[in-house]
Amino acid sequence: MENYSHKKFTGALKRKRSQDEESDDDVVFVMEQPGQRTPEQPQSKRPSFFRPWLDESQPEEKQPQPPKKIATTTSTPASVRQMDATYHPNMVRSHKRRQRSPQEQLRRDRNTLASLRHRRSQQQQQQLIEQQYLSSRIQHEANLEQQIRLSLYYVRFLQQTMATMEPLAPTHHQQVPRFQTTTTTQHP
Amino acid sequence: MERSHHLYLPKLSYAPMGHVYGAPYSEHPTTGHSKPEQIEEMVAQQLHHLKMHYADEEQRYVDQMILENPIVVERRVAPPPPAQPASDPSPSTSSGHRGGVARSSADSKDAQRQRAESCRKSRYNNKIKKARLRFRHKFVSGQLQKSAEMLDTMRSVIAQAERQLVERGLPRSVLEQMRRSHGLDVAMQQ
Repeated sequence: MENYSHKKFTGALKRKRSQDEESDDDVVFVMEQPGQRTPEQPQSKRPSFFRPWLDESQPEEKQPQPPKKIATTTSTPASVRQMDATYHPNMVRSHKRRQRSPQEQLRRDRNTLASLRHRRSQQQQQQLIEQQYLSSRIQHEANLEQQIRLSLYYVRFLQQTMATMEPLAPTHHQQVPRFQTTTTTQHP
Repeated sequence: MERSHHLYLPKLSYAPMGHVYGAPYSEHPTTGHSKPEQIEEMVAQQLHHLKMHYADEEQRYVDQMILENPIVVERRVAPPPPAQPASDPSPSTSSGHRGGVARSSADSKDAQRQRAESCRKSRYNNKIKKARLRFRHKFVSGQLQKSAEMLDTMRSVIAQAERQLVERGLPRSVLEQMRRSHGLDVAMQQ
């Protein structure tokens, strides 16, 4: 485990990151240390979800709040509308705004959107599996009920009736039902 | 010597539950035509038993699968040593007012470490949840297939028995009535 190295800290990105601020400074605990806010982040500017298709309108309900699931009511492109529905506010990082070149910012934006899409598709996959599980379980329990009814019907009625009714021909006696039972009589 | 008129259940893990199917018969050995309410009560009781049995088996299966496929989340740094005076997990350490820059940076380091730990725990728990769902789904799929097959087998045997009874002169209406009283679909298989 000591040898674990994430690509974030190796390779081509290492040079770029060393040029930027130290990563420690980015971690601003906005929620936990209100008395130590950095001057660059005024009180009113709360961390919010990244939604580049919105202009300046960052609606209040998207800011980190106690409610776990934040539903959006603003207009978003249909393709990403569903993405906003179930993100936990703790997912929002509270880093200082970095100065990035337009190219770099574009790259960051694309990456962010890609990760949002991926997370959403993962969520959907899990939901699908959950739904399949539930419907399979319901179906299985319905099968069990049918098995109970059929077995009661067989044991309580059919077997009894078979035993009490007069047989048509001797050949019927040799037929052994696949329900293994210890019946009362076996005619020779 | 007890007469056990029980069904043979080869494929399911319901062999220990065989007595459940036979229980009503041994309790009412002479009933030919019970009231539908009694039948419904018996069905409900047995269904509850089978559902509990399923839940137990599912839990056992999932636990066994998790044991056989342990979830691992790696670390980037060594885990924090247990003896640390500042590593108080209570909220009081992360709230407000501290004097001095040195202390605040130490606190922020602690908070950062704490957050990293929480993040790691969260990732681990989510992985566990996902794995449990996968295994539960696998289990229920197998059980569903088995129960469907068992149902087909039972239906074909019952159809055979019904045919024999009809050949022996039993009126179909009697069969239909008995099916109805057991809560079964009245349409006959042929």
